[in-house]
Amino acid sequence: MKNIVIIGNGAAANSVAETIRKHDSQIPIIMVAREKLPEYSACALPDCLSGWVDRNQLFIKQLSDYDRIGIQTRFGLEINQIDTSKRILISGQETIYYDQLILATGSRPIIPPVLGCELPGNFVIKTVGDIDAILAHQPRQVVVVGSGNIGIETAEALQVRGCQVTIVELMERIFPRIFDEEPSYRIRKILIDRGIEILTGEKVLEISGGQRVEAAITDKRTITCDTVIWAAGVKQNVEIARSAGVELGELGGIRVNSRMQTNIEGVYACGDCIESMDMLTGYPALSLLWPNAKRQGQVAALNCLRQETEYEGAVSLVVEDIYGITAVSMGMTSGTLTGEDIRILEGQNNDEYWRVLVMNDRIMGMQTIGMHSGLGAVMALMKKRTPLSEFWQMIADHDMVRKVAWYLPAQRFLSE
Amino acid sequence: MNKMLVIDYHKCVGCKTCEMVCSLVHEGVCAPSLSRIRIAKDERAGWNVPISCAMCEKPLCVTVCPVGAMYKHRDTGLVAVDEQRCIGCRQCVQACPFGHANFNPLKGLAFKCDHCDLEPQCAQFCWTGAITYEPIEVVLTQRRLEKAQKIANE
Amino acid sequence: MNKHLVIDSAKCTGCGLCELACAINKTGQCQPHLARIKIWHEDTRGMFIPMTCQHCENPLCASVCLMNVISKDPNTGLTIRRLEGCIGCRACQGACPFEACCYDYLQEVVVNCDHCGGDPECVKNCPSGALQYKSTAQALDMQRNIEGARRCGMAGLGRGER
Repeated sequence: MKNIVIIGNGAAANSVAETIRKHDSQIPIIMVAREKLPEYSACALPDCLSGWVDRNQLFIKQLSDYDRIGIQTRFGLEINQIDTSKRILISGQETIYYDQLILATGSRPIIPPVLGCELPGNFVIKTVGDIDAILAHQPRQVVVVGSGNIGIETAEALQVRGCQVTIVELMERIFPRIFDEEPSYRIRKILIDRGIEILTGEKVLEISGGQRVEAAITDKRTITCDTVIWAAGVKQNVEIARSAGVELGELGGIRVNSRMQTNIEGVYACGDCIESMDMLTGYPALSLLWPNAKRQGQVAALNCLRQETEYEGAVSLVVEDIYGITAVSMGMTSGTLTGEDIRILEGQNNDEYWRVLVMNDRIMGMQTIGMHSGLGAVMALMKKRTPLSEFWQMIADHDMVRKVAWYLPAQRFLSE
Repeated sequence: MNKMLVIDYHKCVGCKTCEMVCSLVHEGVCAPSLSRIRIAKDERAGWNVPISCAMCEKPLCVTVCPVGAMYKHRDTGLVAVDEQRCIGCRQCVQACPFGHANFNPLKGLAFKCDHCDLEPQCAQFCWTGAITYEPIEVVLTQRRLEKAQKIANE
Repeated sequence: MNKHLVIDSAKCTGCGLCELACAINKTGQCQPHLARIKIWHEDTRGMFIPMTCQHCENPLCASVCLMNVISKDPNTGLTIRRLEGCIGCRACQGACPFEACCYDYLQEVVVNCDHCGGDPECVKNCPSGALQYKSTAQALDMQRNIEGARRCGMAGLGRGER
């Protein structure tokens, strides 16, 4: 094998590069990416916006680190075309030959094409450049469109900075895809107590203003603001791949098999740009999360090195810090869980709240607020598909229970 | 599953040939610490007991593994480690009541007996006959015969 | 040979000295919540289980860390954290089945047991011997010898150790 070329510089791309280097110190690796910066954590961007994290703390690598572990970088290069028959990437006049290609092109935030969306004062949260731009803009009255991870984190970050923040969410509750009604409502209350205005079941139709953003017009009202943050979903970066003949899945992501291989020989894909398989259901899923990207990158790299490895599937683990209170969602939610024999185990104790979704006596998902103990245990039981009857059998067995000590903290959540 | 590793510790002299052969076959070196079968011994008391995997029906190593790397094969009944899933947390090592589930610190993975593709080398090379590989029914019949004869001779 | 904290929960009395020793040694505060080892109490059954970082070879915490601050020390084999990079998001706590990750609320980062540089304080202060510091090979040898003795029906005539 002559070389391995990776398009991307995010979690998946770096996971590929590091895994390859761990097993093979010689094979040439080239990383090609649009942004000129070394690897940084996109997940920590809202923390940088709030001032909790310094800008330089965001960076996971320095440019010299790539050189140190023997990775050639072509940063600041935009790939226009991939010719899979000649095995070359084309960027303007330049071509890069690849022997094995890994597509880790990620995703980008969607800005709906509403009137005024191009006015100065409209932002997304995806790159360090975005954070720089927002801070330079000196926001005071902010409308955040969308209430997923990015929307809520950004709203909190700007409120902490002293801005007046309004969240506008299309669905009937915040965190619609991550938390069920009850936990979502509890989180909403925390945010409202901090002075964040939350408008649900409302849609932004237009951004008005002369030279810059002056107001956001929804289907119910006009909100005066100087800044709009679009956190209303992402689009996967699959255009170059599709043009090159790489097949996409039914959900729009790059289709891969359990070895992260695309339909084209020698071309792999991993991270936000792919359509993966949900570990719990076995169905195609878009689970655009950091840990999934890292694991997919690892699997792609191992398969590239001919160490056959099967991907066990994507699983969701979301941990949010809402003004110091930890809100966790793992696995499926009531919105995504379909089937028979579904039970919900819900409980609270002072400021702690938990909600476990059980189907066919197996844990399919859990959401908690204000809890830190036993989460990993439930996650492990969920991934192993351990029937609850078996769980309780082990707990009740006085001689055996010590052998499965890690089960014990999960008891709190799983009692009827 | 048909056959099990039958161990008669009365016949074990503690020569550890089984450990040599096992580690050689699986890891390419004669290294007792990498052998799947291990001899527990007390030289003062004078006993040697070969310890190997019992291929339990309800394996504790499987129950305790937090990532599902330990599993029982549906067809053969063998309990095995999926090396791709193993995270090297050593819970299986602590859980196995026999001290069988082992850990390779160089690979960072758990390892255990796999009956050598149903032709166990330890049984092959054990020259005292302490380790044999036989169908369960044969073992039971044998034991019953031995017991009956013992009673008859009294 | 790398050593591990080998826990025999049957001997744990729940006294909590390990937690205090750890917290004082690591933070200077006599505060069990800051300890890197925690005792899980099953009060209704009189059972106490010490839980701490198992230093997995391929840690689940590392796979979820958003800042890639968790790695394996090539010399000691321990799971280590680059604390300057930690932003205290606590995602690792959601991934670890062993309650290993501890939130240090003073530094506002997540930490884990580091074996106190090779001489663990908790082991030194455990009055019942529930916590021991030995290599996996040693622990296994002991386990197998106990099993061997049991099979021979000569339990107690072994090395006299448990």
